Amino acid sequence: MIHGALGEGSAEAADPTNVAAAAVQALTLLLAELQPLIGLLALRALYVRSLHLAQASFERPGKELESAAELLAQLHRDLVSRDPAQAWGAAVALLLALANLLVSLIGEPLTDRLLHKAWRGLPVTKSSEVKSP
Amino acid sequence: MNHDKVPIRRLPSGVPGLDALLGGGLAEYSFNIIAGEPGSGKTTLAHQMMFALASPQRQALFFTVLGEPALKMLRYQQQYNFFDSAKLDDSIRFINLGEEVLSGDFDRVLARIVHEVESFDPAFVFVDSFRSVTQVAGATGQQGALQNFVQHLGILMTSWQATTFLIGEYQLHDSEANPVFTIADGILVLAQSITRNSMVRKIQVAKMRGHATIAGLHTFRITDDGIQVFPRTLPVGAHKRHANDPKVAPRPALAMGTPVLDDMLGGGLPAGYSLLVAGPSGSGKSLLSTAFLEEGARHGEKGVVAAFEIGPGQTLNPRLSKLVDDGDVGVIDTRALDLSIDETLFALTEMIKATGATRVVIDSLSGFELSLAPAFQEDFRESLHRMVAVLTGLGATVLMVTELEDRYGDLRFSPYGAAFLTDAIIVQRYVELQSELKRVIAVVKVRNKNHSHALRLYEINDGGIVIGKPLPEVSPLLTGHPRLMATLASLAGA
Repeated sequence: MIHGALGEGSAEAADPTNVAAAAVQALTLLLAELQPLIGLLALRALYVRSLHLAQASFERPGKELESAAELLAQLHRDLVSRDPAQAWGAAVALLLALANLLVSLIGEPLTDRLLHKAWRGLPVTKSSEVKSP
Repeated sequence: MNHDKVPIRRLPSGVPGLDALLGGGLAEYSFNIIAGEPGSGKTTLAHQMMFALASPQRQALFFTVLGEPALKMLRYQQQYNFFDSAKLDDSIRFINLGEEVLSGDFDRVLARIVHEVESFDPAFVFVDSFRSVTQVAGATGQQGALQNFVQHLGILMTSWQATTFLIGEYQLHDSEANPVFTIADGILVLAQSITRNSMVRKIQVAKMRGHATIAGLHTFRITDDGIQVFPRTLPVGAHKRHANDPKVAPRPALAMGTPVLDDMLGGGLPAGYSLLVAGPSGSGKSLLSTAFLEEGARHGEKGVVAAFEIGPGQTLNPRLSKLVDDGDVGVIDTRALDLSIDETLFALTEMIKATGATRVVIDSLSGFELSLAPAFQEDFRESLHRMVAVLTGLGATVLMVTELEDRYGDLRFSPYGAAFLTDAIIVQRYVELQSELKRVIAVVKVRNKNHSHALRLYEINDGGIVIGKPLPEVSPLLTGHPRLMATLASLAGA
């Protein structure tokens, strides 16, 4: 599902610009589903926690970045600046970290529903692929 | 008389027992408060109702504010069996209002609610925790704005035909909640109290416009299935029980299953009576009650037993076990040590209704009292009175066993003052007779009926209780050290 959300590319062939755009699109859709449910404060905390768990040397958002759009703009800049394999790996790690964080908090069925709903317009695979990075 | 009054539709709440308190269910389009201290089960109650009520045709919106974070709420609430994740999105939607409320701008909060309600067109709306809203109002000195907000919210929800629930950590006499309580159509108050090692949960319908409810506090329990309420059952039509009532007089007499005892009772025990069997340990009270149930089974009458004397790992006596195995007698689970009278009464009445049982045994009152949470032991006598009235009101004949410490010269029948509550009393005692420990039995009382007053010896053998002849030649038996009458006469003559 995570690979599907990023456009079914491969690490070697991925253009960082495309990876960044796909990752931001997937996260925009997912955060749009999450924000009404949990509020911006919890959304920001979940996102920053996911950056931490992804262990991909992401730049941490400053306190001045308050909206989801600002957070994702920073992510876009970060991914574009990486080489193709690194950008792809970092994007996958981040999406996996967020998905697994949700699974740990609200369980797989609810996370599964949430991801499917958010990414229904994107090519998806079975949620069982959402496992630890 | 107004025959054109608007009908108020009652919605099944999905919470077992709650609809009885509410006079049939939740009033459609009503604006309700679910109040109670933290941990009292407010959110669980709201979720249980929401998952029961919501459907794709009648959707529910659940607004979370600043109380329990939404992620945690979902994490914990999904542990309950009523939580149906398939209903999310199609029937139920969660919306967080934290930012709007934190802004302190009630117009903004209302605008967001209006937007979501107009977009989703819900039949049910929940706001949890609404007290967060009122606290923000208090902190920002906007009590007047809060009142307007609540007023507008009530108007909006009613206009949108949404049955609404505001959930808040309020107490019933919480002055802070006044504006909210005043506007509400219904107020459900949840409370919990801890006494020694037991916790008791109670619910009260403090207000419900438009229809009658069952007043007072009612116990409830939270299990994996959610909340179950045990309404404080009141006897139906008990005040009509007088001698001229054709429904109750004359009563057929029930055989007790113990030979001779029916004669002592003046021809059996009138149906619908309550009987107290009092005696010391080992005097055969449980055998007598088992014989009562066996006799019923022989006549095709079902029975129910609440066996409080049976501890974990113990089993019923073989004769009672056979009745249970044969389906003639149902057993109420009495293992918990934090029961309420109403929970027990609920179990009894449900089984009576399900099986058509007409004979009920409570063995024993001492064990019953021990199994209750301490909070309920205080009003045990009053509750016992109500329980007997409810069970006999259902047409059951109730045999209650009570443990009686054998104090010679002290003729008491129950430590609970239950003797006056019952229609009939049988007492069993030990006496010393000719250097042997003997058992005697007597009928003390059968309301509105002539009965034997004789004290009779009895023995217990494999067949049960065998009642012997009266002992006219021996007196006074109940002192515990009787003498032969001839000896007494000679003493008197001397």
